[in-house]
Amino acid sequence: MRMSLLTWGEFNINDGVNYKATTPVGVGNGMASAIPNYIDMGQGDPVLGGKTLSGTMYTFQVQLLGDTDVLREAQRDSLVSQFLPNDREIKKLYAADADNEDKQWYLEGSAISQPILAENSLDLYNITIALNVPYWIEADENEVAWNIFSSTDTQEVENVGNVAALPIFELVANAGKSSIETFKLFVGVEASPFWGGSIPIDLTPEGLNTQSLITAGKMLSSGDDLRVVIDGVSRRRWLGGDGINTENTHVWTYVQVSICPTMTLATALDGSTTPATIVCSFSPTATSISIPTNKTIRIGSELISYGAVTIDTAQGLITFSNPVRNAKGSQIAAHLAGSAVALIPLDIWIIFGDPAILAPVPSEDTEPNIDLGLSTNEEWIYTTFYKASGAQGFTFAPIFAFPGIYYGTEHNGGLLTSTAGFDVPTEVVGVAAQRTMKPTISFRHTGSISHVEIAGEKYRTGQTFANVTLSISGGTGNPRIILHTEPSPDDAETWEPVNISVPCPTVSEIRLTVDGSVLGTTLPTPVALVELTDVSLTVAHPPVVFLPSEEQVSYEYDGYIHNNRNDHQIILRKLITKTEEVITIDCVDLEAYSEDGKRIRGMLDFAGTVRDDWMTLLPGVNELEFWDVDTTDVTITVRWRARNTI
Amino acid sequence: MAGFKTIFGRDGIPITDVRASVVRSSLLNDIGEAVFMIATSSVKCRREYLNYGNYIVVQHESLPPWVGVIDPPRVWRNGYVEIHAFEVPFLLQYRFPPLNMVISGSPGERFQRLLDFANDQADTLLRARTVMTTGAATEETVSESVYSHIKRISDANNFDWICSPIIDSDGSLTVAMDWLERAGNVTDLELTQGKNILYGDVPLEESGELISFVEAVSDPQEGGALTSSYSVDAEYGLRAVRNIYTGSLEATALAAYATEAVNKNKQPSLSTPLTVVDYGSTFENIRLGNIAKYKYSNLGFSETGLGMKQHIRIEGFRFDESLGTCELFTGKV
Repeated sequence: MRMSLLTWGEFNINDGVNYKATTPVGVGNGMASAIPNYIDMGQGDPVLGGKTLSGTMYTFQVQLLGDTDVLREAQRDSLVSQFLPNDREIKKLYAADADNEDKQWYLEGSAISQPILAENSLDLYNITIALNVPYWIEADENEVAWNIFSSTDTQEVENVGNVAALPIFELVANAGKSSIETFKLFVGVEASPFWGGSIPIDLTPEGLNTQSLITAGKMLSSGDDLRVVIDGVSRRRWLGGDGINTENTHVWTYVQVSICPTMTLATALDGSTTPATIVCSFSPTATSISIPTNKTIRIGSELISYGAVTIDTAQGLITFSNPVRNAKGSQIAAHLAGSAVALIPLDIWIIFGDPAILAPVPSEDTEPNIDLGLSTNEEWIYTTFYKASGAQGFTFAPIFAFPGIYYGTEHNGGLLTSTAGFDVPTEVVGVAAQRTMKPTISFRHTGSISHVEIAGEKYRTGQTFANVTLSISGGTGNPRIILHTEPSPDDAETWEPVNISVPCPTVSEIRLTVDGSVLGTTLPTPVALVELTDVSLTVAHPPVVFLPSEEQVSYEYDGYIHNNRNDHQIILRKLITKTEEVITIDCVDLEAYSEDGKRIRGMLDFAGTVRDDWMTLLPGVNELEFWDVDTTDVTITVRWRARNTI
Repeated sequence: MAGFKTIFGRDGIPITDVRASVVRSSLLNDIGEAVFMIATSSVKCRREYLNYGNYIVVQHESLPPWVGVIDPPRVWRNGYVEIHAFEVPFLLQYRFPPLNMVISGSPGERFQRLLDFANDQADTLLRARTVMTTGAATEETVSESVYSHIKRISDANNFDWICSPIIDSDGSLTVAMDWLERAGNVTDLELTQGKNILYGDVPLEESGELISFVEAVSDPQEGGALTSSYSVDAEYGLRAVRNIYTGSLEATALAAYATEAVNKNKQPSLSTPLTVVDYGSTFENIRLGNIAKYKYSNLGFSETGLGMKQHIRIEGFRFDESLGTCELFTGKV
């Protein structure tokens, strides 16, 4: 390459009238500045451990061509104004390659010193810029439209540079697949102004009519093809309500509920146009607010996806940029100023229709402990129980605390002072206490409990019964607040019913404690037992779930793009989109997103050689291979800029 | 060759990948740290990517992958931000079991129970994988953080724990936590000056407390005062200590503790700065708990004069990706 410098930003540094720009021969530029890292081996020879590519600078010269002092001074001042060390702007230095028909390349960087007069010269200035990356980058982007009409295809792309280039892929499915048609249903779980945390949530609170979907041939009768995908990753799901192939199927999964302040629309939106930004008001709080970019908001029944977010805590304003209206299959509508705005921070889809999908593996370890047939987001009902130590904690199984005898079989199999055992899940959960014991069973809901109902039985062997209380935390340093004290059974050695129904201030945990300290020590040692068969928690701030529409036809990539030259493979792992939607996989910025800016990194995976980059194109011709199940018509636009060493 | 650096959300879903030169450490039964920089002009310098609580997985072609949680400090410098992350058991310092809960069982069973308590409060993504349930069954009352109890059980019973990132076929992250009688394998790795290790300013230091006699006593407050002892003949003479062990212990368990305590301290600890380069298959053998050989020709006393040849156990390592070197922290075999 023989480079002839052209412009710095918009400023022509080689116009032949005012300036002539050159790179002096012998000036060290580019990648020559890698620093070797030698390992001291004492009396042995040093070993090269690696090398570090330090920041790279590029120095060139500009000669003033004015033939009078006045003209040269004006040229100098103009030149200086373009290369200010306090200017943080990144600009491009363009050059033409005389060896290749003046093909243009550029360096990207920022001035780090003013032009300095060269030694023994009156009109020649040295200029140094610091570079973003130590390569000449091809000015014109290469673009290849790769049309694919079968499950597999190859395409050659040529990188004319002498170092690896980074491609950008844009995938568009022009038509559906030949064999399968899949469907997707968006689920909006809204951020809460009250609480955050991961809990089991019913994604279909109104019930999903899987019977009609199965009848229409859209879903397998087993429901094995029904998946829940959150931000591109399949999550474990469980079916509740009346189960699969009914009009009332409920789909449960764990969802991380975010915290977000209550927002209202600052300016009205009409029912047809899309503004550049949507501004919302919120009540400023001391808590820091974090709202992710490229997500969704709900106003009324309309979902609007957005790009960037700006939060002005002083003014109490949140601005959503680049909105896309009637998103996710919702309908556009007019909204008055002051309308409530809800943040939907997760991209949750219920997907079905792919018969090749593997049936979900049942997992008692992670299944929510509540009765999924009876429970709702507003009320959690326990009819069977896991022993807390045998299950992962996030299942919201009851927690046992403090010394005591805990058991899981009815009436503890007749035992008083030892545990008959636990058959998981158990029909009852019970405790037995003697004088030195204070066993406790606690239930919790991150969204706070406002009412609790407990049914079970109680038993005493002696004259007195234990102090059995239902309590909540009284706050730091304060005693617990007793909501209910259970009276003693009327008769000794007789099982009698327990029926508790009490409202409570909104708390995240309630405890049933059987305090045996009042039992006494007269032999035989008195024992008190309490066991629970049904527990119901009313949720103070249940998660809000919004389903905008009926299911939509989806398109699912299930294959890969592979560079056969260097074994770099990008796996499209059940990447959910729809026909005619552009999916961008940007290997320059390591970002992948759909047309509305939604990040889809979760639906990508990578295989092949260990590397830093998703995929590179080696110098010369690279053969790219695409493979996807039952593709009929896909276009991939491959874009890249070659890179050359300086 | 470096590998992907992928950031996951608190629920284990991959969010993005970053290009960064990472310095990261892994420690046996302890918490390692990673540091990397992101330019403020980079598209990756976004709060949702670099949020506290997010996880980062750092891969490498030879070294085991590293996983940690992003946490303060977050140091804003001129044009870039320095991000710190800590190995995931770090979160166990901020999880507490129910106050004064009594847990019982073997060390492994108690570890499992404590991990359940941690996830009870909020999922840490830590999942018990291989849990060895050998060892004396005791009970203890828990009141401190889950981490301090696990650490104490590990130290008292000489168990090791190791964490490894697991990326499921669906792309989501969990962190497998193994509870082992002894982590690592005996390897063929030979660390030799002039071949694959750096010669530091203090190539070898002998330190630690010398003990030749241990009297193990069960905790008197738990009805104890049962004793058992073990001793060795040492060239430096008698160095006796009395150790009190909590829990309901029998004489055989106390004898085992005494023997173990003597054997652990009858010789000084050797510490040697070992910075290694990936010569041959060096990095492939660097795993927590692995045993390697090292040789010095003119350091330490041998039976015939100077020079040492000894097995060491890798108890930690710190990999500097920009330099391509791995600093080992070693212990006795």
